[in-house]
Amino acid sequence: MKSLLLVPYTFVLLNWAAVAALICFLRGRGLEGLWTEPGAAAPERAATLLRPARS
Amino acid sequence: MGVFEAVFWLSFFVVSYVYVGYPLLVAAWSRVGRRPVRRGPWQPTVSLVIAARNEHETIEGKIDNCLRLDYPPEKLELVISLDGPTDGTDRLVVERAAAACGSLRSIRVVRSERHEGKAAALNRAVEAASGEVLVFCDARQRIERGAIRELVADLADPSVGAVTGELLLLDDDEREAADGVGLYWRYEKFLRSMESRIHSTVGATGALYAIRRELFAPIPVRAILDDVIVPMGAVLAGKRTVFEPRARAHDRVCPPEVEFRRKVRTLAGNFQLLALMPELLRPWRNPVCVQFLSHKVGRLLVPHFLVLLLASNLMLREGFYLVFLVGQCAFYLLAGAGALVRNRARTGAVRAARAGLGREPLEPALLKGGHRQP
Repeated sequence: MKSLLLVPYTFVLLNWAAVAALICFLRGRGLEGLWTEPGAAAPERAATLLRPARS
Repeated sequence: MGVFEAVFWLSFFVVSYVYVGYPLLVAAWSRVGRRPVRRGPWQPTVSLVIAARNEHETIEGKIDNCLRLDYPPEKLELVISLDGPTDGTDRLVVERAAAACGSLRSIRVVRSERHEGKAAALNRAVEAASGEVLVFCDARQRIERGAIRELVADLADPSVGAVTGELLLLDDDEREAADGVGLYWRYEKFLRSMESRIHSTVGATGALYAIRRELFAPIPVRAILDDVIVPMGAVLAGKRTVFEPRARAHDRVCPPEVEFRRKVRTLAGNFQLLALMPELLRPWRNPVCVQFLSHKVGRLLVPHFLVLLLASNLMLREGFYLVFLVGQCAFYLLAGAGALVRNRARTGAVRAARAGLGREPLEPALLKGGHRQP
Protein backbone atom coordinates (compact mmCIF):
# COMPACT_ATOMS: atom_id res chain seq x y z
CA MET A 1 0.00 0.00 0.00
CA LYS A 2 2.81 2.40 0.92
CA SER A 3 4.55 1.57 -2.33
CA LEU A 4 1.37 2.38 -4.23
CA LEU A 5 1.11 5.78 -2.53
CA LEU A 6 4.72 6.54 -3.40
CA VAL A 7 4.01 6.42 -7.14
CA PRO A 8 1.74 9.52 -7.35
CA TYR A 9 3.85 11.24 -4.68
CA THR A 10 7.05 10.67 -6.65
CA PHE A 11 5.34 11.72 -9.89
CA VAL A 12 4.18 15.03 -8.41
CA LEU A 13 7.48 15.66 -6.64
CA LEU A 14 9.61 15.03 -9.72
CA ASN A 15 7.34 17.20 -11.86
CA TRP A 16 7.52 19.98 -9.32
CA ALA A 17 11.30 19.70 -9.68
CA ALA A 18 11.00 21.05 -13.24
CA VAL A 19 9.29 24.19 -11.91
CA ALA A 20 11.94 24.60 -9.21
CA ALA A 21 14.63 24.08 -11.87
CA LEU A 22 13.11 26.78 -14.07
CA ILE A 23 13.03 29.21 -11.14
CA CYS A 24 16.69 28.41 -10.35
CA PHE A 25 17.64 28.82 -14.00
CA LEU A 26 15.83 32.15 -14.41
CA ARG A 27 17.32 33.49 -11.19
CA GLY A 28 20.74 32.59 -12.51
CA ARG A 29 22.69 33.05 -9.33
CA GLY A 30 20.76 30.24 -7.71
CA LEU A 31 22.49 27.89 -10.10
CA GLU A 32 26.01 28.88 -9.13
CA GLY A 33 26.24 26.26 -6.43
CA LEU A 34 24.95 23.65 -8.82
CA TRP A 35 28.03 23.65 -11.00
CA THR A 36 30.88 25.64 -9.60
CA GLU A 37 31.94 28.60 -7.52
CA PRO A 38 30.47 32.06 -8.13
CA GLY A 39 32.61 34.25 -10.33
CA ALA A 40 33.88 31.48 -12.57
CA ALA A 41 34.31 32.10 -16.28
CA ALA A 42 31.19 32.44 -18.44
CA PRO A 43 29.98 29.33 -20.22
CA GLU A 44 31.47 28.62 -23.61
CA ARG A 45 29.18 28.44 -26.59
CA ALA A 46 28.21 25.23 -28.25
CA ALA A 47 30.62 25.73 -31.12
CA THR A 48 33.48 24.90 -28.81
CA LEU A 49 31.71 21.72 -27.77
CA LEU A 50 31.91 20.31 -31.23
CA ARG A 51 35.56 20.98 -31.79
CA PRO A 52 37.47 17.74 -31.25
CA ALA A 53 40.05 17.98 -28.50
CA ARG A 54 42.46 15.90 -30.50
CA SER A 55 42.26 15.02 -34.16
CA MET B 1 -15.08 24.94 -28.25
CA GLY B 2 -14.47 27.40 -25.46
CA VAL B 3 -11.16 28.66 -24.16
CA PHE B 4 -11.20 26.33 -21.14
CA GLU B 5 -11.93 23.31 -23.29
CA ALA B 6 -9.10 24.24 -25.66
CA VAL B 7 -6.67 24.65 -22.75
CA PHE B 8 -7.89 21.39 -21.22
CA TRP B 9 -7.39 19.34 -24.38
CA LEU B 10 -4.05 20.95 -25.24
CA SER B 11 -2.79 20.21 -21.72
CA PHE B 12 -4.21 16.69 -21.84
CA PHE B 13 -2.47 16.07 -25.16
CA VAL B 14 0.94 17.35 -23.98
CA VAL B 15 0.91 15.42 -20.68
CA SER B 16 -0.36 12.18 -22.19
CA TYR B 17 2.01 12.44 -25.18
CA VAL B 18 5.09 12.91 -23.00
CA TYR B 19 4.31 10.10 -20.54
CA VAL B 20 2.29 7.64 -22.66
CA GLY B 21 2.23 8.62 -26.32
CA TYR B 22 5.97 9.05 -26.72
CA PRO B 23 6.90 5.70 -25.08
CA LEU B 24 4.35 3.98 -27.36
CA LEU B 25 5.74 5.87 -30.35
CA VAL B 26 9.36 4.86 -29.70
CA ALA B 27 8.31 1.28 -28.92
CA ALA B 28 6.53 1.03 -32.28
CA TRP B 29 9.28 2.97 -34.09
CA SER B 30 11.97 0.66 -32.69
CA ARG B 31 10.13 -2.35 -34.17
CA VAL B 32 10.05 -1.01 -37.71
CA GLY B 33 13.20 1.10 -37.69
CA ARG B 34 15.56 -0.93 -35.55
CA ARG B 35 19.27 -0.37 -36.23
CA PRO B 36 21.24 -3.19 -34.60
CA VAL B 37 24.71 -2.50 -33.25
CA ARG B 38 27.41 -4.61 -34.91
CA ARG B 39 29.31 -5.63 -31.80
CA GLY B 40 32.78 -7.09 -32.09
CA PRO B 41 35.77 -8.25 -30.04
CA TRP B 42 37.60 -4.90 -30.19
CA GLN B 43 40.14 -4.21 -27.42
CA PRO B 44 41.31 -0.62 -27.64
CA THR B 45 43.30 1.18 -24.97
CA VAL B 46 40.84 2.56 -22.44
CA SER B 47 41.16 5.47 -20.03
CA LEU B 48 38.79 5.16 -17.10
CA VAL B 49 38.08 8.72 -15.97
CA ILE B 50 36.80 9.65 -12.52
CA ALA B 51 36.24 13.21 -11.31
CA ALA B 52 36.15 13.43 -7.54
CA ARG B 53 35.96 16.16 -4.94
CA ASN B 54 35.26 15.10 -1.37
CA GLU B 55 34.95 11.35 -1.78
CA HIS B 56 36.80 10.26 1.33
CA GLU B 57 34.28 7.50 2.03
CA THR B 58 34.04 6.05 -1.45
CA ILE B 59 37.22 6.62 -3.41
CA GLU B 60 39.27 3.70 -2.10
CA GLY B 61 36.45 1.27 -2.83
CA LYS B 62 36.12 2.77 -6.28
CA ILE B 63 39.81 2.35 -7.07
CA ASP B 64 39.66 -1.27 -5.89
CA ASN B 65 36.59 -1.75 -8.06
CA CYS B 66 38.50 -0.40 -11.09
CA LEU B 67 41.47 -2.68 -10.39
CA ARG B 68 39.20 -5.74 -10.48
CA LEU B 69 37.66 -5.00 -13.89
CA ASP B 70 37.84 -7.73 -16.50
CA TYR B 71 39.88 -5.92 -19.15
CA PRO B 72 43.53 -6.44 -20.20
CA PRO B 73 45.46 -4.41 -17.60
CA GLU B 74 48.08 -3.39 -20.17
CA LYS B 75 45.30 -1.63 -22.07
CA LEU B 76 43.52 -0.04 -19.14
CA GLU B 77 44.47 3.29 -17.61
CA LEU B 78 42.89 4.96 -14.59
CA VAL B 79 42.77 8.77 -14.48
CA ILE B 80 41.47 10.42 -11.32
CA SER B 81 40.88 14.15 -11.41
CA LEU B 82 40.70 15.74 -7.98
CA ASP B 83 38.66 18.91 -7.85
CA GLY B 84 40.08 20.80 -4.87
CA PRO B 85 39.26 18.19 -2.21
CA THR B 86 39.20 19.30 1.41
CA ASP B 87 38.51 16.03 3.21
CA GLY B 88 41.74 14.14 2.55
CA THR B 89 40.54 12.42 -0.61
CA ASP B 90 43.75 13.46 -2.37
CA ARG B 91 45.93 11.71 0.23
CA LEU B 92 43.88 8.53 0.01
CA VAL B 93 44.03 8.54 -3.79
CA VAL B 94 47.80 9.03 -3.90
CA GLU B 95 48.38 6.26 -1.33
CA ARG B 96 46.05 3.83 -3.07
CA ALA B 97 47.45 4.66 -6.52
CA ALA B 98 51.01 4.10 -5.28
CA ALA B 99 50.01 0.75 -3.79
CA ALA B 100 48.33 -0.31 -7.02
CA CYS B 101 51.19 0.86 -9.24
CA GLY B 102 51.85 -1.75 -11.92
CA SER B 103 48.37 -3.26 -11.74
CA LEU B 104 47.24 -1.29 -14.76
CA ARG B 105 48.83 0.36 -17.79
CA SER B 106 49.03 3.52 -15.71
CA ILE B 107 47.28 5.32 -12.89
CA ARG B 108 47.32 9.08 -13.25
CA VAL B 109 46.16 11.58 -10.67
CA VAL B 110 45.55 15.19 -11.68
CA ARG B 111 44.65 17.76 -9.08
CA SER B 112 43.23 21.26 -8.93
CA GLU B 113 43.99 23.29 -5.82
CA ARG B 114 40.60 24.98 -5.93
CA HIS B 115 37.13 23.61 -6.57
CA GLU B 116 36.28 24.43 -10.18
CA GLY B 117 33.43 22.04 -10.86
CA LYS B 118 33.03 18.61 -12.41
CA ALA B 119 33.25 19.77 -16.03
CA ALA B 120 36.65 21.40 -15.48
CA ALA B 121 37.85 18.31 -13.59
CA LEU B 122 36.79 16.04 -16.46
CA ASN B 123 38.50 18.28 -19.00
CA ARG B 124 41.75 18.08 -17.02
CA ALA B 125 41.45 14.31 -16.76
CA VAL B 126 40.91 13.89 -20.49
CA GLU B 127 43.96 16.05 -21.22
CA ALA B 128 46.01 13.62 -19.15
CA ALA B 129 44.35 10.50 -20.58
CA SER B 130 45.96 8.52 -23.39
CA GLY B 131 43.36 5.86 -24.22
CA GLU B 132 41.61 5.46 -27.55
CA VAL B 133 38.36 5.19 -25.63
CA LEU B 134 37.35 7.29 -22.64
CA VAL B 135 35.09 5.69 -20.04
CA PHE B 136 33.55 8.10 -17.55
CA CYS B 137 32.20 7.04 -14.20
CA ASP B 138 31.37 8.53 -10.81
CA ALA B 139 33.21 7.78 -7.59
CA ARG B 140 30.36 6.17 -5.71
CA GLN B 141 28.74 3.58 -7.96
CA ARG B 142 30.33 0.18 -8.41
CA ILE B 143 30.90 -1.17 -11.90
CA GLU B 144 30.41 -4.83 -12.79
CA ARG B 145 33.58 -6.68 -13.78
CA GLY B 146 32.77 -7.08 -17.46
CA ALA B 147 31.33 -3.59 -17.99
CA ILE B 148 34.28 -2.15 -19.95
CA ARG B 149 34.35 -5.09 -22.36
CA GLU B 150 30.63 -4.68 -22.98
CA LEU B 151 30.97 -0.95 -23.63
CA VAL B 152 33.86 -1.22 -26.09
CA ALA B 153 32.22 -4.16 -27.91
CA ASP B 154 29.54 -1.70 -29.05
CA LEU B 155 32.23 0.77 -30.15
CA ALA B 156 33.53 -1.87 -32.59
CA ASP B 157 30.65 -0.67 -34.76
CA PRO B 158 32.10 2.38 -36.58
CA SER B 159 28.70 4.13 -36.60
CA VAL B 160 28.67 4.16 -32.79
CA GLY B 161 30.46 7.09 -31.15
CA ALA B 162 29.38 6.73 -27.54
CA VAL B 163 27.84 4.04 -25.34
CA THR B 164 25.96 4.42 -22.10
CA GLY B 165 25.82 1.64 -19.54
CA GLU B 166 22.90 0.71 -17.33
CA LEU B 167 22.58 1.95 -13.77
CA LEU B 168 20.79 -0.49 -11.47
CA LEU B 169 19.19 1.10 -8.42
CA LEU B 170 19.10 -1.51 -5.68
CA ASP B 171 16.87 -1.59 -2.61
CA ASP B 172 17.83 -2.89 0.84
CA ASP B 173 17.30 -6.47 -0.34
CA GLU B 174 19.86 -5.98 -3.14
CA ARG B 175 17.09 -6.26 -5.73
CA GLU B 176 16.35 -3.68 -8.38
CA ALA B 177 14.04 -1.12 -6.77
CA ALA B 178 10.49 -1.15 -8.11
CA ASP B 179 8.60 1.52 -6.19
CA GLY B 180 8.64 5.31 -6.42
CA VAL B 181 12.04 6.41 -7.70
CA GLY B 182 12.97 2.85 -8.74
CA LEU B 183 9.88 2.58 -10.91
CA TYR B 184 10.58 5.97 -12.46
CA TRP B 185 14.14 4.93 -13.26
CA ARG B 186 12.96 1.70 -14.91
CA TYR B 187 10.63 3.76 -17.09
CA GLU B 188 13.57 6.00 -18.03
CA LYS B 189 15.69 3.02 -19.00
CA PHE B 190 12.89 1.62 -21.16
CA LEU B 191 12.84 4.91 -23.08
CA ARG B 192 16.62 4.88 -23.49
CA SER B 193 16.58 1.34 -24.72
CA MET B 194 13.95 2.12 -27.37
CA GLU B 195 15.68 5.33 -28.43
CA SER B 196 18.96 3.46 -28.74
CA ARG B 197 17.41 0.89 -31.08
CA ILE B 198 16.15 3.63 -33.38
CA HIS B 199 19.32 5.76 -33.42
CA SER B 200 20.61 7.23 -30.17
CA THR B 201 19.68 7.89 -26.58
CA VAL B 202 19.43 11.57 -25.67
CA GLY B 203 22.06 11.38 -22.97
CA ALA B 204 23.96 8.85 -20.92
CA THR B 205 24.15 7.81 -17.29
CA GLY B 206 26.95 9.62 -15.49
CA ALA B 207 27.68 6.41 -13.59
CA LEU B 208 29.10 4.72 -16.69
CA TYR B 209 29.50 5.85 -20.27
CA ALA B 210 32.15 5.64 -22.97
CA ILE B 211 33.12 7.76 -25.97
CA ARG B 212 35.75 7.56 -28.67
CA ARG B 213 38.61 9.85 -27.77
CA GLU B 214 38.47 11.77 -31.07
CA LEU B 215 34.82 12.69 -30.46
CA PHE B 216 35.39 14.25 -27.07
CA ALA B 217 35.42 18.04 -27.01
CA PRO B 218 36.13 20.08 -23.87
CA ILE B 219 33.00 20.52 -21.77
CA PRO B 220 31.99 24.14 -21.02
CA VAL B 221 33.35 24.88 -17.57
CA ARG B 222 30.02 25.59 -15.92
CA ALA B 223 28.07 22.83 -17.62
CA ILE B 224 25.93 20.72 -15.31
CA LEU B 225 25.14 17.76 -17.54
CA ASP B 226 28.42 16.38 -18.87
CA ASP B 227 26.62 13.08 -19.38
CA VAL B 228 24.27 14.69 -21.89
CA ILE B 229 26.66 17.19 -23.50
CA VAL B 230 29.40 14.63 -24.24
CA PRO B 231 27.19 11.94 -25.87
CA MET B 232 25.07 14.51 -27.71
CA GLY B 233 28.31 15.96 -29.09
CA ALA B 234 28.92 12.52 -30.62
CA VAL B 235 25.41 12.50 -32.10
CA LEU B 236 25.88 15.97 -33.60
CA ALA B 237 29.18 14.75 -35.07
CA GLY B 238 27.23 12.11 -37.00
CA LYS B 239 27.66 9.08 -34.72
CA ARG B 240 25.24 7.10 -32.59
CA THR B 241 25.03 6.98 -28.80
CA VAL B 242 23.68 3.59 -27.81
CA PHE B 243 22.44 2.01 -24.61
CA GLU B 244 24.21 -1.18 -23.52
CA PRO B 245 22.29 -2.98 -20.76
CA ARG B 246 25.07 -5.57 -20.34
CA ALA B 247 27.43 -2.87 -19.04
CA ARG B 248 26.10 -2.30 -15.55
CA ALA B 249 26.85 -0.09 -12.58
CA HIS B 250 25.12 -0.42 -9.20
CA ASP B 251 23.84 2.18 -6.76
CA ARG B 252 21.38 2.40 -3.88
CA VAL B 253 17.93 3.74 -4.61
CA CYS B 254 17.39 7.03 -2.78
CA PRO B 255 14.29 8.53 -1.13
CA PRO B 256 12.08 10.73 -3.37
CA GLU B 257 13.15 13.88 -1.49
CA VAL B 258 16.79 13.27 -2.36
CA GLU B 259 15.81 12.46 -5.90
CA PHE B 260 13.90 15.76 -5.98
CA ARG B 261 17.09 17.74 -5.28
CA ARG B 262 18.97 15.88 -7.96
CA LYS B 263 16.11 16.30 -10.36
CA VAL B 264 16.12 20.08 -9.83
CA ARG B 265 19.81 20.07 -10.69
CA THR B 266 19.35 17.83 -13.71
CA LEU B 267 16.39 19.76 -15.08
CA ALA B 268 18.16 23.08 -14.52
CA GLY B 269 20.93 21.45 -16.54
CA ASN B 270 18.43 20.76 -19.31
CA PHE B 271 17.49 24.44 -19.43
CA GLN B 272 21.20 25.27 -19.55
CA LEU B 273 21.65 22.70 -22.30
CA LEU B 274 19.14 24.52 -24.51
CA ALA B 275 21.26 27.66 -24.14
CA LEU B 276 24.59 25.88 -24.66
CA MET B 277 23.59 23.64 -27.56
CA PRO B 278 20.69 25.28 -29.40
CA GLU B 279 21.41 23.10 -32.44
CA LEU B 280 19.81 20.22 -30.53
CA LEU B 281 16.48 21.87 -31.35
CA ARG B 282 17.20 21.95 -35.10
CA PRO B 283 16.04 18.79 -36.91
CA TRP B 284 18.49 19.38 -39.76
CA ARG B 285 21.40 19.30 -37.29
CA ASN B 286 20.18 16.83 -34.69
CA PRO B 287 19.14 13.40 -36.03
CA VAL B 288 17.35 12.65 -32.75
CA CYS B 289 15.55 15.98 -32.53
CA VAL B 290 12.10 14.36 -32.13
CA GLN B 291 13.41 12.24 -29.27
CA PHE B 292 15.14 15.21 -27.68
CA LEU B 293 12.01 17.37 -27.85
CA SER B 294 9.74 14.59 -26.61
CA HIS B 295 11.97 13.23 -23.87
CA LYS B 296 13.95 16.19 -22.58
CA VAL B 297 12.00 19.32 -23.51
CA GLY B 298 8.65 17.61 -22.88
CA ARG B 299 9.62 16.91 -19.27
CA LEU B 300 10.31 20.61 -18.77
CA LEU B 301 6.87 21.52 -20.08
CA VAL B 302 4.70 18.88 -18.42
CA PRO B 303 4.42 20.42 -14.91
CA HIS B 304 3.06 23.66 -16.34
CA PHE B 305 0.52 21.75 -18.40
CA LEU B 306 -0.46 19.68 -15.35
CA VAL B 307 -1.37 22.94 -13.59
CA LEU B 308 -3.31 24.12 -16.66
CA LEU B 309 -5.05 20.75 -16.89
CA LEU B 310 -6.30 21.00 -13.32
CA ALA B 311 -7.19 24.69 -13.58
CA SER B 312 -9.14 24.29 -16.82
CA ASN B 313 -10.83 21.15 -15.48
CA LEU B 314 -12.04 23.11 -12.44
CA MET B 315 -13.88 25.39 -14.85
CA LEU B 316 -15.39 22.43 -16.71
CA ARG B 317 -17.43 20.28 -14.35
CA GLU B 318 -19.98 18.45 -16.48
CA GLY B 319 -20.17 14.92 -17.85
CA PHE B 320 -16.77 13.56 -18.89
CA TYR B 321 -14.99 16.59 -17.44
CA LEU B 322 -16.51 15.93 -14.00
CA VAL B 323 -15.31 12.31 -14.06
CA PHE B 324 -11.85 13.47 -15.13
CA LEU B 325 -11.78 16.10 -12.38
CA VAL B 326 -12.63 13.47 -9.77
CA GLY B 327 -9.80 11.33 -11.15
CA GLN B 328 -7.34 14.20 -10.97
CA CYS B 329 -8.36 15.09 -7.42
CA ALA B 330 -8.06 11.44 -6.35
CA PHE B 331 -4.57 11.27 -7.85
CA TYR B 332 -3.40 14.39 -6.02
CA LEU B 333 -4.98 13.17 -2.78
CA LEU B 334 -3.03 9.93 -3.13
CA ALA B 335 0.11 11.99 -3.74
CA GLY B 336 -0.66 13.96 -0.56
CA ALA B 337 -1.15 10.70 1.35
CA GLY B 338 2.18 9.52 -0.03
CA ALA B 339 3.79 12.72 1.27
CA LEU B 340 2.34 12.03 4.74
CA VAL B 341 3.62 8.45 4.70
CA ARG B 342 7.09 9.64 3.68
CA ASN B 343 7.05 12.40 6.28
CA ARG B 344 6.10 9.91 9.00
CA ALA B 345 8.84 7.53 7.92
CA ARG B 346 11.45 10.30 7.98
CA THR B 347 10.28 11.65 11.36
CA GLY B 348 10.26 8.15 12.80
CA ALA B 349 13.77 7.47 11.57
CA VAL B 350 15.11 10.72 13.03
CA ARG B 351 13.34 10.10 16.38
CA ALA B 352 14.64 6.55 16.58
CA ALA B 353 18.15 7.78 15.94
CA ARG B 354 17.85 10.52 18.55
CA ALA B 355 16.23 8.27 21.16
CA GLY B 356 18.77 5.57 21.15
CA LEU B 357 22.32 4.70 20.83
CA GLY B 358 23.60 8.28 20.58
CA ARG B 359 23.64 8.10 16.82
CA GLU B 360 23.35 11.04 14.51
CA PRO B 361 19.89 11.59 12.96
CA LEU B 362 19.52 9.59 9.77
CA GLU B 363 18.39 12.47 7.63
CA PRO B 364 21.82 13.88 6.81
CA ALA B 365 22.90 10.43 5.75
CA LEU B 366 19.84 10.11 3.54
CA LEU B 367 20.73 13.33 1.81
CA LYS B 368 24.19 12.17 0.86
CA GLY B 369 25.21 10.37 -2.28
CA GLY B 370 23.07 8.86 -4.99
CA HIS B 371 22.95 8.88 -8.72
CA ARG B 372 22.03 11.56 -11.22
CA GLN B 373 19.65 11.00 -14.06
CA PRO B 374 19.95 12.80 -17.33
